Amino acid sequence: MSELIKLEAIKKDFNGKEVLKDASLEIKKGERFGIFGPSGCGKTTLLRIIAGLEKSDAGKVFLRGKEVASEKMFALPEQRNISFVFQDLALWPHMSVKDHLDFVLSERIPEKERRKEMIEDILETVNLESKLDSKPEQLSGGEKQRLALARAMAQKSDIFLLDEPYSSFDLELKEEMQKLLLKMHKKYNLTTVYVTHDIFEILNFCSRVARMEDGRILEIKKPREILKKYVSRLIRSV
Amino acid sequence: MDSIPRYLIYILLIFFIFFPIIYLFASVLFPNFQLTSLYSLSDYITFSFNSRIIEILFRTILMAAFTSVIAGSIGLALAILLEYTNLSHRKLFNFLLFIPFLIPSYIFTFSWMGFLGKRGTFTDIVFQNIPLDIYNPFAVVLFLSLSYFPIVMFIISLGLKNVDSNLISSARMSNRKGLIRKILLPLIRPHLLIACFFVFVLTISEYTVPAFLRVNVYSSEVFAQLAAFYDLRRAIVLSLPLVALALLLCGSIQFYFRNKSFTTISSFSRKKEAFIFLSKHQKVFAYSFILLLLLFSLLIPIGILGVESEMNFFGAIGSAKNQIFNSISTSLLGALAVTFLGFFTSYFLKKSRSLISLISFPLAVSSPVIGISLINFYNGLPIPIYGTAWMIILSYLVKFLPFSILIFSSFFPQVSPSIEESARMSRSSFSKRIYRIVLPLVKGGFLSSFAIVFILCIGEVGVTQMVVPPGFQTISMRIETLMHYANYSYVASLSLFMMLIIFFVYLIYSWAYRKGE
Repeated sequence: MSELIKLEAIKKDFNGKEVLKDASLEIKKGERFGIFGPSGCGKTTLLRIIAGLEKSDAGKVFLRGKEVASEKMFALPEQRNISFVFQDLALWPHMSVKDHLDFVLSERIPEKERRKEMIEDILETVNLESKLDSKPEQLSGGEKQRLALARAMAQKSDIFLLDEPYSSFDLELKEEMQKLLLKMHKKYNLTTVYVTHDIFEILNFCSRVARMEDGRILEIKKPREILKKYVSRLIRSV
Repeated sequence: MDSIPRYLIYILLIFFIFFPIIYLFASVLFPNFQLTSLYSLSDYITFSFNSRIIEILFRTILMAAFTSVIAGSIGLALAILLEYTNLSHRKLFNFLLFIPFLIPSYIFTFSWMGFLGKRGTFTDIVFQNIPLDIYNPFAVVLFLSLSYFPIVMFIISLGLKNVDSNLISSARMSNRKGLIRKILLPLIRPHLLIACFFVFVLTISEYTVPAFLRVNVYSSEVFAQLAAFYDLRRAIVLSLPLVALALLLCGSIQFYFRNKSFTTISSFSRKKEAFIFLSKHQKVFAYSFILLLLLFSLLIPIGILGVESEMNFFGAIGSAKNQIFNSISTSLLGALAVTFLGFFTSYFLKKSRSLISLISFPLAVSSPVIGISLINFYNGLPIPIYGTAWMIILSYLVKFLPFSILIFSSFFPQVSPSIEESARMSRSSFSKRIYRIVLPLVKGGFLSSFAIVFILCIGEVGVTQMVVPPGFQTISMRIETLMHYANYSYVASLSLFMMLIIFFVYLIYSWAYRKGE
């Protein structure tokens, strides 16, 4: 497998506070990569730097083998072709479910009929066919989440970034959503980067994990190995 | 890519807003730059700010502060009563209580003078034995407060409408008594501050109402230097403290907003429900308050205008057909231009609070000075603007753009950045993001800016009469001319007609706003 995302010595400073210190990692095509760590450790900033929503102060970002951010150049988010699921979902309150997808699809598919077919197909995958004309405020928490996933999916990008998407969900809903995400990952052959502070989400979904603390990537391992350390540390502290 | 529209907006701002005024200030304050002078600049400043002028300046600031506090308190109370309580007919009261703002303040005062003033139709009958004097600063503050409280109510209501209902519900469950003071007030602070700032600068630049009530204010002094003494240099020098004050206030407000989040537009909109339940006695008190306000700010002024018009509507309107057309067309174009420029300026400068403060400086420049700066600048340019009605549109841009920017800058912070970021991630173009995502989310601001600026444009006299091309007159200029000739019947008829036009725009605005909600 070739590497799809590569970060080299990324540094970021917010108002004098260093939030990322020489963060480097490589994510291969088709991976379900997790970024795990406590709140405020810099994981969301790292994800936003991959997406181009934040500029790093130093270091390089490569996507699909091409340099997209360095001291010399910076590709805007709209030029990177990345799907992003925001922590607050960032649904557009004035648009219906159908309009959300249509907005994204109309960028590359001019034919209305084809867009309609694609919208139906995507909504079927996320089980939202019956909510075609509903606005976000009329959807339940799970439905909103599915809409956010559907919108990201409509973009047909091979890179899928998720920023603590299920942090406010109960266990049952989390499991349901992770199953859906796994289904999508396989169906669309995605490379997923999943940011969370919940070790069990990592365990259920990810194939490899970077553990972060205080702006640094401490280790990149399999989820079970991270869990072992985490549990033994938990036991020690108890 | 948004760099092209961004720089285009910067160029427009510099060319239309900053340059004419800065050019005038520079050319007048630095004699070697253009004009010759008998005094040095420092001598001139010392000479201009004598004790009388300083006293007038303080009086004006005090009057503006009192007007802001009174109009702010009334507007805040009304907004909370009509948005969050269980009073009946809240929509109707909301609609009626905004109407006083549709009456230009000089017409409002003119009609009150017809009631309580020296020419008062009712003075002899009603107040025969009561020595009532309305020719003092208190009356100016009172009339301006009654004229401006609707704008405060309106702006705060916009904020209250967007407060997440969960925030209020959680406060109701935990500390019912502290709901207004601890939760609502902090959440709508930007709206309250902006509304009071509006009232402050509107009062400070007002000179027709004080002139009617024979109160000498600072703007009248600036105007007198131009109109009576033709002393442009002193008018500019006298304008400096007001410019500094407006910059200081606006800068403080913007600084205060920095890194703070207030009300939020989220995927969850507030359900239209009452959060504050008034008892029977409280309801009686609230209704009395509202009805008294309606009586003093709406029924009496309109009633007096009706009586004074002597039913001369058709004669008055027939004699001012051109002026009516001119007013409507220039105000519509002006409001559109101001709103578009205001929208894009606020959008591009939403992270640069200091620049937004800087753009607000024309608020404190007296209307005649703005007029002269435009004449001075465009007269010498090889583009055919000077001597055309476009000068009026330009003057509206300079004078009212800060209002539009301030309205939008209370809307933009409510839109979560991730909402636009998610559109960027979907590779949508700049124009598509603006048209499909940003505009719909701040459409309330767009409509509000258009409606408020239209109302301000149609009632504007100060700058218009300076830049108007020969043979061109607006309805407010016509009213002012008729006032000088003491043709009160036509003044009242035309004033009522002008209010009707404004009312029509307000009706369309209300309909569009409700539909948008």
